Parts: sequence; structure tokens; C-alpha cells
Amino acid sequence: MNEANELNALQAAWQQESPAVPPDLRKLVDRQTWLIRLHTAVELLISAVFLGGSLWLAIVMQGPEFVVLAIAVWIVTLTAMIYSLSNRAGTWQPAAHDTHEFLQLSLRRCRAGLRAVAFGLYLLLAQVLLLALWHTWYWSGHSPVPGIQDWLLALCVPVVVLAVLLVLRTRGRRELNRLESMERSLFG
Amino acid sequence: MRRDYIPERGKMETVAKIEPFAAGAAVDRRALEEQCERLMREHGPSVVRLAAAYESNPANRDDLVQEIALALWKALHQFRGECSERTLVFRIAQNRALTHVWRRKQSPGELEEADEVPDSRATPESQASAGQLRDRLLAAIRSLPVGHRQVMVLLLEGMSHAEIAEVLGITEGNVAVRANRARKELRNQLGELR
Repeated sequence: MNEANELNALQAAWQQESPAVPPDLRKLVDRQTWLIRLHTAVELLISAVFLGGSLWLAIVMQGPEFVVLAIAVWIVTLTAMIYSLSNRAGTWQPAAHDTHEFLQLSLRRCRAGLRAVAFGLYLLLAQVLLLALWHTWYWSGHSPVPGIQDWLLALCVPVVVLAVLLVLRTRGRRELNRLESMERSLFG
Repeated sequence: MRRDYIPERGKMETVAKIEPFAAGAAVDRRALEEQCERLMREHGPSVVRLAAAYESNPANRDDLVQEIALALWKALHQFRGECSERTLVFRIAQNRALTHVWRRKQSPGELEEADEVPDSRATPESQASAGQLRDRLLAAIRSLPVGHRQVMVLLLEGMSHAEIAEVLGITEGNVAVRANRARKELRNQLGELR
């Protein structure tokens, strides 16, 4: 059998089956749209809680400590928001690229994700340090000073955030390795 | 189907019959859904066959087909008629399939064993009439390295080397090399087709 006939035979066998495809696209699109809106709403809500809460504390409590706290919170939150937007630059192109471009874009997205996680770790460290300094300053002039249990309870939040960030970093690195290996395999 | 002269190729070719959305214009969601559904009706069987080349489990395969449909819907927002609709569908399908492969914990060149999970939608009659060649071909395709599999699947869907090059972002020469290697591997597995 010559090559052309062989290909024809393979094509005929391959296209023999003509499966129907009724994906419930509308439902799928609705769910996806809802998830995107939810994600945006949660991001906005978290920012609003931090920015609004610190501002509210500064206005209600009227002490210099709370003004300093509000300024620190605003600086940290706005830095995070600006970094998040700038880090996403160049990763929003449409999905209709050819495979080579798509793989390059996926690598860029994965690296941007890892940079964001690294930034999150530094930000967490900065927040913990700032809050520790602020608490030390604040409780030096106020009483009763919280007990060790309260401090340990407060430490749970950064520990959980740290654990989440480390899991994300491990996953991101694994995905980057797979993507790089696929790029080498497909495009040398 | 509309045929236009493509200067880069120096010949007449079938081009997109999708009406591209103007940049910045408000996108009519209903029109978008209709276009996407039409594309899935026309190219759906090819998309399912492509998904089957990457996923043997029927439930996961259906998920992959849905992911492709969703990616197509998203891409249509920004589609400006840069390529034919067939190229668009296959680009998206290949890209989603590739994502599916790397999300599974397998290295890309790794040989993938054909699953024994039966397809619940296939009746005994259809299985018998479909012949064993297709099943053997599918199993052989699944065992190819991803780079060869991509080219072979598109070739089996009747695409030319130029179209495959456009879908994958490689040169036609590279397509020819991969196609030759893939066919050699298939011959080794299936034996001479007579």
C-alpha cells in the first residue's frame, strides 16, 4: 500500500465515528461568568475590608496609633493591588494562539503566578513585622496587655496564609517544570 | 463557506464565516453563543475525536470537550478573523488538550497506555460495526509522543501540512518530519495496512 492510500485508509478509519457533541454551553458559560464575578467581588471585598476598616478605626478611635496603622494598611494594600495588576500585564491575550504561542503564554502566566506567590511571601513578612511593631508600640501604653494565648491565636492567621502560599509555590513550580519539559519536547 | 484569496499563501482558501466582532464594540452575548454552538455543531465530531486522542476515560473526555467549547466561546470575543474558523477551532482544541496533558501528572513524551474504561455510549452493535481498526488506531495514536500525536490527529482530520503548521506554530518542514515519524510509529504498531 503506498503512502497516500495508507493515509486515506487511516483517515477513513479515524473519521468512521462521528460522535455528537451537545455540551450544555449556556449553562457552562453562566457558571464561568458567575465564577469570574465572584472572584472579582471577593478581591474587591477583601480590599474594601482592609482599606475601609483601617480608615474607620482611625476615625473612630482618634489616636495617633490608629492613624499610623491606617497609613500602613493603605500602603501595603495599594502596593499589593498595583503589583497584582502590573504582574498580570502581557498574560491576557486571547486563547486562539497557535500551540507554540500558547505554550509561551502559559509559561509567562506560570512565571507570573510564581512571582506573585514570592511577592505574597514578602508582603506577609512585612505585614507581620509591621503589626508586631505596632502592637508592641500600642500595648506599651495600654492595659491589660493580651496574654500569650491571644498572641498565639493572632499568629494562626499568618501561619495559615504562609501554608497556603507554600502550597501554591510548590504547585506552581511543578507546573512550570512540566511546561518547560513540554516546551523542550515539542519545540526543542 | 466563503473562499478568498490569501496573499501570504498565494492561493484561494476557505476563510472564516464568523462575523468578527469589531474591537471595542459591545459583544452581543446571544450572537456569540449562537456562533459558538454552530461551530461546535460543525466541528464537534472532530473535537471529540481529538479529545479521545488525549483522554481515554469517557467522563474526562467529555470534560475536555466542554473545556474546549468554553475556550472557544471566550476566544470568539476577541476573534478578528485572523484565520479560518477551522484553524481557530483546532488551535483551541489542541491548546486545551495540551493543558489537559500537562495538568495530569505525566511527562509529555511519556507513552500513555490505553485505558480499559469502556465508553458507555457505544452500543455493542456500533462497536462491532465500527471495526477493530479504529480502536487499534486510537490506541496507537494515544501511545504516540504528544508532538507526533498533535500532527497525526490533524492529518487524520484531513488538514494539509500548511494548515497544521498554522495550528501548531511550526514550519511545514517540521510538520512533515513529525508526520513521517508518527506514521512510522503507527506502522510499527498497526502493521502494514491492507
